[in-house]
Amino acid sequence: MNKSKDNDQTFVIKILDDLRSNNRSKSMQMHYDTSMGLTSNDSLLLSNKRRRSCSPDLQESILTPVTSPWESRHIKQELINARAEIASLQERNKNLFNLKRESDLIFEKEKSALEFNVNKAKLTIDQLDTKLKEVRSEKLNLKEENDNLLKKIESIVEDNQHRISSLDKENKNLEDKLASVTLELTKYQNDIASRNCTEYELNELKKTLRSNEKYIEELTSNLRKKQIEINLLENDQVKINTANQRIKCLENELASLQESSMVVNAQREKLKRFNSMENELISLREEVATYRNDVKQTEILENKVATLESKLNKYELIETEAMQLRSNLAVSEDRLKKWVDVCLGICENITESQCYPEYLRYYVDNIKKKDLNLVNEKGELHSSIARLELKVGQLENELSKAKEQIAVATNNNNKMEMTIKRIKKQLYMITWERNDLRDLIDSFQKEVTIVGNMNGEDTKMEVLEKAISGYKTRMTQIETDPSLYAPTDNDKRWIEEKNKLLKEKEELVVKCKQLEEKCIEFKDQIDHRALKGDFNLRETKILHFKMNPASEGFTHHQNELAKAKQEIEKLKERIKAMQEGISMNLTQVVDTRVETNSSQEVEVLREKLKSQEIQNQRLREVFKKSSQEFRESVYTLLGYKVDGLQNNMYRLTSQFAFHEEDNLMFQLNEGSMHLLETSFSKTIEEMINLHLGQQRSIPVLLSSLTIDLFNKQSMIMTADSTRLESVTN
Amino acid sequence: MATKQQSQNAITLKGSAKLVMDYLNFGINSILFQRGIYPPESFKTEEHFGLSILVSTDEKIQQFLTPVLSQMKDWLLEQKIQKLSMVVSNVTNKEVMERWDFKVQYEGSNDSNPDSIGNKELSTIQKEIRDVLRQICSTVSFLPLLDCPCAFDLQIYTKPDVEVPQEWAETAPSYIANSQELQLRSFSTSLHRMDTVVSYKADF
Repeated sequence: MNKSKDNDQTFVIKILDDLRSNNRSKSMQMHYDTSMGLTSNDSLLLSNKRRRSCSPDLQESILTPVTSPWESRHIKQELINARAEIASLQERNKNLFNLKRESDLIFEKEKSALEFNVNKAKLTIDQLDTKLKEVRSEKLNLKEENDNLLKKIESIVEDNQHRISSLDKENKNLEDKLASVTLELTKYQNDIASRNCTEYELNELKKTLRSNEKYIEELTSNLRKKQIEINLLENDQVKINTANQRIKCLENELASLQESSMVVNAQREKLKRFNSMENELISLREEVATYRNDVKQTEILENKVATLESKLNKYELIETEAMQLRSNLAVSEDRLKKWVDVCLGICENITESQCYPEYLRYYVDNIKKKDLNLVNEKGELHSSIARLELKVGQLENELSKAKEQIAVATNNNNKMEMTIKRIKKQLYMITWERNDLRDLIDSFQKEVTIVGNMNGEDTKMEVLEKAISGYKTRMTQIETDPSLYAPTDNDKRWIEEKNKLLKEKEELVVKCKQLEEKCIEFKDQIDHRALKGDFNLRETKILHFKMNPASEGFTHHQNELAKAKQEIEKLKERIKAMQEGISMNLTQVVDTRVETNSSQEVEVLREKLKSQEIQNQRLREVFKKSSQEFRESVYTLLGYKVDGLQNNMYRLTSQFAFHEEDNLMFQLNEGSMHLLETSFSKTIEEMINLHLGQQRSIPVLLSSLTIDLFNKQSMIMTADSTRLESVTN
Repeated sequence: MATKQQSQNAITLKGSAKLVMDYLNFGINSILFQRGIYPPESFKTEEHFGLSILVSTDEKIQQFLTPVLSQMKDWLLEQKIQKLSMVVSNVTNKEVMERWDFKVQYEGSNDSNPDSIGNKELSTIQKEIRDVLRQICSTVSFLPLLDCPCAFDLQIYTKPDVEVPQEWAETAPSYIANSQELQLRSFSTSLHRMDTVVSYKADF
C-alpha cells in the first residue's frame, strides 16, 4: 500500500516538477504568493520534524503553484493521508517500544524468579547434603555393630570347633587304650599256650602230640572262636566307642544346646532388641527412601538448574545479541539517515518517504544509462571529430591551393589591368596629340590663308615644324615600341594574333584548372589508397621477421587442428570398434585401424590418383599426337595408310588406290603376318602368288603394288593429259 | 653559453630513431594489451613518457620485438623504411582483422647524414608521443571487438635496395576487405615524422 501511495506521490510530484520547470522562471514568485493562501494551513500543520527533514526543493514542491484546485485538493488529501500514516507509524513505533520494554521487564522478572528458585534449590541441596551425611554416619555405626555381632558369632563357632577337636583327641586316646588292651589279651593268650606246652611236653611228648595237635586244632578252633569272640568284642568295643561317641556327641549336643540356649537367651535378648532395631531400620529405610527421593529431586533440580543456567546463558547471549542488534540498528538507522540525506541531496524533487534504495538504484541506473549514452556519444563524436579533422585538413589544402590560384589570377589580372591602363593612357595621349596636331594644322591653315607669307611667322613655323617633327619621331617611337602597342593600331594581323593568343591563353588556363582539379582528385585518391594500405609496388619491398607470432600461431593452429582431426578419427574408430564389440586391446586395434585407413593417407592417395590420371590423359594425348604423326609419316614415306583393327588386324590402304575400299587386310598371328582375303586382294592374285607364294615377302608385295597402282594412276593422268593436249591441239 | 643551450635543445638522428623505436615498442605493446591479443595477466605496467604503459612480459613477444625493432632502427638511420604495418589476423583463417600503419617521413636534410641535428625540444616531442599513445589507448572505445584467436605480425615497407637479413623474408601486403580507417595524431622529432593510421574491418 505504502509503496503504491509513494509512487502516486512521486507521480504527482513529477507532474508538478514538469509544470514548475515550464513556468518556474516566469511566475514562480507570483504563484507562491497566491498559493500561500491555499497551502498555508497545510504548511502550518506540517510537523516541525518533517519541515526540518524536507529539502527546500520539496517545500517548494509543496508550496509550489497549483494550477487547478483539483490538484491542490488531491495533494491535500495525500498530505493528510501521509500524515495519518506517519502518526500511525509513530504509534506503532511507540507500541513496539512499549512491548519491548514490557518484554524486557518480564524477562528481568523471570530472571530474578529463576535466580530465587536457583538459590532455594541450592539451599535445599545443602540441607539434603547434611542429612545425607548424617544418614551415612548412622549407616556406618550400624555397620560397625553388625560387624561386632558377626565377630562374636565367629568366636563362638571357633570355641565349638576347639571343643570338637578336643573330643576327637579324647576319642583317639580311648581307641589307643583299646588297642593296648587287645595287645595284653594276645599276650595272655600266648602265656596260656606256653603253659600248656610245658605241662604236656614233659609227660606225654609223643602221646599227646596228636592230642596236642587235636588240642591245637581245638585250640585253633577255640582261637577261631575266641577270635570271633574277639571280633565280637571288638564289635562291642566299636559299639562302645560309638556309644561313647554318641555320649560325647550327646554331651556335645548338650553343651551345644546349653550354649545355644545361652545363645538363644542372648538372641532372645537381641530379638527383644530386634523389634526396636527393625523399627529403627524401617524408619531408617523410610528415611533413606525419603533421602533418595530427595536426592532424585535434587538431581532433577540440578538438571533443572543446569537447563536454567544454559537457558540463562542463552538469554544472556540473546541479550548481547539484542544489544548488538540495537547498536547495529542505531548504526544502520544513522546510515539510512545518511543514505536518505544523500538520496535527497542527489535526487532532486523527492520526499523522504520516497528515499528507497529502489529509487536510488533506478536513479543510479538512469545515470549509468545516461553515462553509457554519453560515452557512446563521446566515442561517436571522437570518431566524427577525427573524420572532420581529416576533412578539414583536406579542405585546408584545397583552400591553400585555391588561394594560390587566386593570387596567381589576381597577379595576372593586375598585370592585365596595368597593361590596359597603360594602353588607355597611350590611347588618350595619342588622341590628344592627334587633336592637338589637327588644331595646329587648322590654325596653320587659317594663318596661312589669313596672313599669307609673313616673315615674322617663319620662325614660328620653324618652331612648329620642329615640334611636328618631334611629334612624328615620338609617333614612330610609339609605333615601334611594342610595349606601347595600342589596340587602336590599324594592323589587323596583330589584333587577330593577339585574340588568338588570348583565346589560347584562356583555353590553357581552363585546361590548367582542369588539370589542377584532376591533380587534386588524384592526390585525394592516393591519400585514400594510402590510408587503405596501398603503396607503390615498384619502390617498396615488404619484409617481415620469419619467426613472427602470426606464422607461429598459424602453424600451431594447423598442428592443433591436425591433432584434433587425428583424435577425432581415433575416437570414431574407437566408437566403431566398441559398437563392433571389441573390448580387448581396444587402443591397439584403433591405432592399427587408424594407421591402415587414415583419411590423410586416403587423401594423399586420391591426390596421387588424380595426378596419375592427369598424367595418363596427357600421355594419351601425347601418344595420340605421336601416333598420328607416325602414321602420317608412314603414309607419306611408304605410301600406305595403316589402320590397326581389333584381333591384331591391320588394314592397309594405298596412297594411290582408286577407291577407299581397295585395301589389304593383314592379321598378326604368333609373330607372323598373314594376308586376309578381301575384294581387292582377289584382283591382284597374280602379284600375291608371285611375291607371297614364291618370294614370301610382304614388303615386296606392297612395294610392287604401290608401283603398279602408281603406274596405273600416272598412266591415267598422262592419258588424261594427252587427251587434253589433243583436245587443245 | 649559446652552444650549450643549443646542445640541450638539439636532438641527434640516433636519438630521434631511438625515440621512434620507443614509441613503436610501447605503441605495439599497448595495442597488444588494449586489443586483447594476449591475455592481460601477461602484461606489467611501466612508466614511460609520463604514462603508465602496459608492456608484455611474454618472452616470445620480447624475443620477437627486440630484434625487429633493432633492425628497424638501423634501417631508419639509413632512411630505408617507408612504414611499419602491424597486422592483426585471425589465426584460424588468416583473415586480416586490423592493420596499424606507422608511416615514417624523413624531415630535415634529405641525406642520411648521421650528424644531422634536429631543433625540437625533447619535452615537446615526448608530449606529442604521449598524446599519440593516449589516442591509441582510447581507440578501444570504437574499434570492433576481436572475438577470435588472433596473432600479429610486423611488416616493414622498405625501399627496394635494402639488404634482406637471414632471418627476414619478403611477404605479401595485407589488405582488409571492407576497411575503415582512422588517422591518429602524428608526432615529429624534427628529423622523423610518424603518422599512425589504424584500419579495421568495418562491421556491416
